[in-house]
Amino acid sequence: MKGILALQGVTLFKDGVRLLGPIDCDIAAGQPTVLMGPSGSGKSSLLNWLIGALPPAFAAEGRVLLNGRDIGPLPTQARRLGILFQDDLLFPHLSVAENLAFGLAPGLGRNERQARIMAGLAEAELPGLGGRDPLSLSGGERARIALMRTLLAEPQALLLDEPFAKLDVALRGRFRSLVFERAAARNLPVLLVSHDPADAVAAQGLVIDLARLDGAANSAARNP
Amino acid sequence: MASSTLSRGQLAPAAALILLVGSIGLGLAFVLALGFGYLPALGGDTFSAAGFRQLFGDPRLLPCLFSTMIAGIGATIAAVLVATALVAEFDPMGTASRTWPHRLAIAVLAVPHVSLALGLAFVLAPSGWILRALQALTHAWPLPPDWQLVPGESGLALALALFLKETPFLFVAMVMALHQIKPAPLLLTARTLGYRDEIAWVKLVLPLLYPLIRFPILAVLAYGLSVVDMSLILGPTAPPTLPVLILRWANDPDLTQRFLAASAALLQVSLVAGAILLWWLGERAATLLLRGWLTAGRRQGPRAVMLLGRALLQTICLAAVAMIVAALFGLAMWSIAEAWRYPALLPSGASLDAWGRAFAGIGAPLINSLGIASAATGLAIVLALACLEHEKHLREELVVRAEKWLFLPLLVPEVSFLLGLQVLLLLIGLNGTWLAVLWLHLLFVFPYVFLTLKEPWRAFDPRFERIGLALGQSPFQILWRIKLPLLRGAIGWAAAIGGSVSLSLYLPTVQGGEGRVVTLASEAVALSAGGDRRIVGVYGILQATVAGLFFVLALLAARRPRWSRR
Repeated sequence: MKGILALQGVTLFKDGVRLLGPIDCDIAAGQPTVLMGPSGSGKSSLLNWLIGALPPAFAAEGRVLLNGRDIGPLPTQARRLGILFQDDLLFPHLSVAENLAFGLAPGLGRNERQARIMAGLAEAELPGLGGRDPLSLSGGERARIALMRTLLAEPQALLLDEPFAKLDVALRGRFRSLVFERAAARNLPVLLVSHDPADAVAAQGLVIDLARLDGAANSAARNP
Repeated sequence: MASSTLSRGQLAPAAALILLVGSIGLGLAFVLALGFGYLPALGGDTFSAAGFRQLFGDPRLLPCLFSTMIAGIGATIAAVLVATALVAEFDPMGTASRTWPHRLAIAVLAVPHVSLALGLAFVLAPSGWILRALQALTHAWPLPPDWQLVPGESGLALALALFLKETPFLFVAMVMALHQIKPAPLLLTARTLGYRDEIAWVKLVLPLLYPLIRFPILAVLAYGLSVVDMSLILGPTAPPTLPVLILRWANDPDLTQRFLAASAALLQVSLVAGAILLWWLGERAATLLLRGWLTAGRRQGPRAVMLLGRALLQTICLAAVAMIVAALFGLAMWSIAEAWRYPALLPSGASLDAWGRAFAGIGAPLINSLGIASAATGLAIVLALACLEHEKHLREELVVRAEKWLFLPLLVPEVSFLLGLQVLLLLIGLNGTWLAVLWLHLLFVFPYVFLTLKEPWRAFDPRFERIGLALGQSPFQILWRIKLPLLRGAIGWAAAIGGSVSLSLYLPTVQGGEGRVVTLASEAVALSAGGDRRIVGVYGILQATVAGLFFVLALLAARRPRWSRR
């Protein structure tokens, strides 16, 4: 069951009215699944539910299993789901390297921490920028640091809440490939929510189109 | 055209700066000259260090500095720690602004310093409520013990009073600052990285929050080190704290003592400057020490420490609230007590005798208090609005830089520059006048009024103004018919806060009024030395009630009329 994020009968309600679902799907590592839908369709709320941070106006049914384990009862910090939002949310009072260090697990030796930070910077193609203030980086650079910070925390799946939407078109493609590539290298299942059809094409995995998904579960799920 | 707009734009901010910085600069200049023995009008024809020699030769100086620092620095550290813990516990996101901790904090903010101090004096005194309660339980003290907490030589009672008053202030300041940080997404990110909320708050939100509340903290520090009114009521007496000593010398019938007072005032300025420097060094040290911990990866705090901290916080809060309620209730009881001997927990009967006696002489202080509070608040609001309305004509860096100076009166110890201004008033023959008191009050009311108004004013959607202009309205009509009605809530808050600041001011009243213009605050402090607890109770309650009424009325007046609320 390694490398699988499974959604079973996941349905979201807002103020008692069904908003989305039921969704059933198995997301395997190396095959990013894309959830497409217009704004207000409940895509981001689904991710919020997955990480255990659903706002009180919403309710949900269904189960989510990570590598065979039901993570529904766990608090957010114990779910081991990494997430990237539209905003990079780098911590402004920490340097780039310190932002990466924030993701690292405790208990590593000083040298080991340093080595992982260096490797993270290299993987983000930003070697030597560790001492910089995050605000001094470009949008694309910040997005890559946010990705590495998430990955350094060693999540077991990666959720993407339109992290490419704010980048300009040229950067978007590059960053998207980097995200998919790094996630695949770590054997992570990836769930991406988006309203950009290009994301669906690039992902080359399962696409769930919420605009067509109505009642009959995954009838709208298709392979592009 | 452009240049005339610019000069008009600069007029109000310039007036505000001249009023505040000019007054304080002038006051400090006089203190500097006096401190070095120079003021021909008082017989000081040459510069000399005689004042300092006398000051440093005084054996009371060291214990006096010690108790001043214990009270000021101790209360500030305690208030910062507890206020931070309160915010972390009750409103870590800065969003729950209508819950009971906020209401309670604002209620305590509205209680004048003097009323609280007078009430606490009764609660903490050797014949006070705490010991009476202990006696009732244990019968250990049939007579009041002779150890003294109030007035306490250690400065602990003063520190406690400052702590009770400043913690809610810092709490409210922190909650307001949290609105600017928007901690929710940061905390969610940390949670997805495996962090528990409490530790993520300390590692991510607190470092962003601190720079925004640094100024209020330093203002609390400066205030605690230079407070006079609370110190007169609760502070040590032999020797008193430095600010009280300065006031005593400043009001000595022997005018030459003002040279000594000024030397001590310069020491007071250095003391506050030194404390601010020390605080800054502490900040640097904490940053250096904790920076590594921020990113060392610890995802949760030690559970025992968290539980213990929470229990401690709850105990402190309960004790603090109980103390404040007992203080105010005690004042009310004393004001109607017939006979109330130790160790009785309650008075033996009720009488309005003290109220009758107090009312005979209350006219002047009440009218002065209300008149000066209304005038100072009104002037401060007009001036603050003029500054805010015209700042759009100025360059942004200039506004940022100028704005910092407007808060100078909150950092420079009042007892220092007020001494200089008192001498200035004496020289120009305005000492002891209503106008003098109004001027000195304005120096303290304006910064608070400006602070309250600036955020809502700047957040006002400029498109309303553009629509107004496009509809052919003049800027004044837009201000009068669009902006003021829409921002009346903010103006109401500013009036409430300005009024309660003015009503609680003691030192500016005595320094400007010299006993000829008296207010409820100055009378209450003067009476506290007399030992008639009934009259003290009446004045303490009256001051708190008048301040509370002013507060509520200002807020009510600013509400939208019922017919327009749909």
